[in-house]
Amino acid sequence: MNMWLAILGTLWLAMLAFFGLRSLRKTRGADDYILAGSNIGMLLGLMTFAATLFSTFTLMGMPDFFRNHGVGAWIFLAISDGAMFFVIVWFGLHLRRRAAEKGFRGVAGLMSACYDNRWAGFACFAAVFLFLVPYVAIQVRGIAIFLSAVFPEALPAWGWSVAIVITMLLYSEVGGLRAIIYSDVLQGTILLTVIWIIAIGCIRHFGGVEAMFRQVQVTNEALLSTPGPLGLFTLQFLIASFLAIVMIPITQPQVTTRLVIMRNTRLMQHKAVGLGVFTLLILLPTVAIGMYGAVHYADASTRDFLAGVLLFEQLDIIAAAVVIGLLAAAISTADSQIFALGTELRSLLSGDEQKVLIFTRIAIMFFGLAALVFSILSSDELVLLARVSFAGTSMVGPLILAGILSPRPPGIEVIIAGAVGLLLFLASLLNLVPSMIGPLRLDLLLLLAIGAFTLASVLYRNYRFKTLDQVTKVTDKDVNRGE
Amino acid sequence: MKNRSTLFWRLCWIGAALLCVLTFTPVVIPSGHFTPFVAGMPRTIWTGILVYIGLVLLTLAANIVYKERDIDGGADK
Repeated sequence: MNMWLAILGTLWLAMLAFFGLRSLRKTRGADDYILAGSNIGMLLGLMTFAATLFSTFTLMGMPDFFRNHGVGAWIFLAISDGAMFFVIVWFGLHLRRRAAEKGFRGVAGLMSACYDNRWAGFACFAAVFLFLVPYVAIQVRGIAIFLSAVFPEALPAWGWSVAIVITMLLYSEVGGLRAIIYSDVLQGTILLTVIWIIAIGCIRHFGGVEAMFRQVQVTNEALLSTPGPLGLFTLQFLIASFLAIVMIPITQPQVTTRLVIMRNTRLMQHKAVGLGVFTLLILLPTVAIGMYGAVHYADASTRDFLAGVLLFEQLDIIAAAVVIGLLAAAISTADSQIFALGTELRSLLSGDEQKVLIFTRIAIMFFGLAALVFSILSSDELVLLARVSFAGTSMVGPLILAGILSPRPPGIEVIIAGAVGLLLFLASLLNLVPSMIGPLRLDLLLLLAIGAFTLASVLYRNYRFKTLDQVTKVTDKDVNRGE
Repeated sequence: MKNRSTLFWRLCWIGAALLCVLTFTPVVIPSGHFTPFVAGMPRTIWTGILVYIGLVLLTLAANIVYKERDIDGGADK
């Protein structure tokens, strides 16, 4: 495998360098660097969105999730994703309208403009900083611990983390968003190819899909239904996860930006349908790999399972492609997120554009280093940590939706509600407040409460302004008559 | 024409919402049950795949309905 790894690794690094330098040559000015000229076509748009969404979380996390918790994992991710793509058609249109009206430099900046209040932007930035840095960290950690286990003589886990973060930062700093998009396309292609090759091998091993599930039934029947053998997929867990994932295009700026930078609205909406097809193609094989693991690696650790099924049971060339695919997946998702953090910060800054850009680049380095530190300290629960990130950023979902949809600037109470929700959720993660309030999960309760409060506030303000408008018109008429 | 488009759009919304609600009922996730098998797959998987395909088709339909509402927005250019 080492020979193939050297060949494919060199090829991949050469392509990264080529894309980085090509993007550097094409880049004209700060907006071009940050937003790739806002002129992305259908295929690039589709692949970059998919690669940002699906990462090590998909290739490593989902098979392990199916193996441990069973078929409920399909509801957890696929149904939530399906609903999310529908939301993109609707939300993307309104987002692009607002972006055209107010100008777009980032979601935080757009919110400051929509609310006429900088604190709205600060609240959004706080949410993405608090919950995207850990998300970046788990991408890096996931692949680092895997590689250190598979190649113990090469580098320790922290060494792999450092190598990944340096590659990611170099690449992003040189080529900007355009370079990241090209690397996303490369990653999406590798990911889709290797995951199918492995899944077909798993299904062939059983002699078909039916035989595979029958074998799982014999091994552990609880895997074939919810809540799964460990009781994870309760109705509340699935609903809370559903809401958090559906909110991703609204609350995760690396995804939101990919809706705005499309060449036009039609392409963005076509992309939503394309993503539906692409996601089905990505997620179906993870079921087969997970079920294979449930039968043959029932008691193995996550590391042993993934190393066995993804590498040691494969042909050398496939195993090498998997390693490169995993590295590419981790880097392309993580650099999109780190870059999005920089973009968000830039959108809150004003002044000389060159100085702002230099500051943004330094900030991207800082975010990368913060993620590196967190990756060395965080736990191994990839999917659950990713879910925490989605749930955390979803706390400002109602705030962003109100800013985009409300015809008038929403009130400061909406910003306060989002900030309080964010703090309470954070406190629950630190065990300062309970994660269950009575029978309800705190994240679900917070999201529902903030959503209802925001809706009531927006409706009340719009009603009050309408009434005030009418009163003003009547008064004006009276004044005119008097004159 | 615009009214018709709005009606179709609302129908798509209602359809998507109903499919999502259906997902969280025992029709798709019956606790502890996995029969009947269809195409060799347990109940939660095949019903889940059907719901997913339904959502993608509704996304496609919504996409077609939105044809007349196209705008040329996006980031600062």
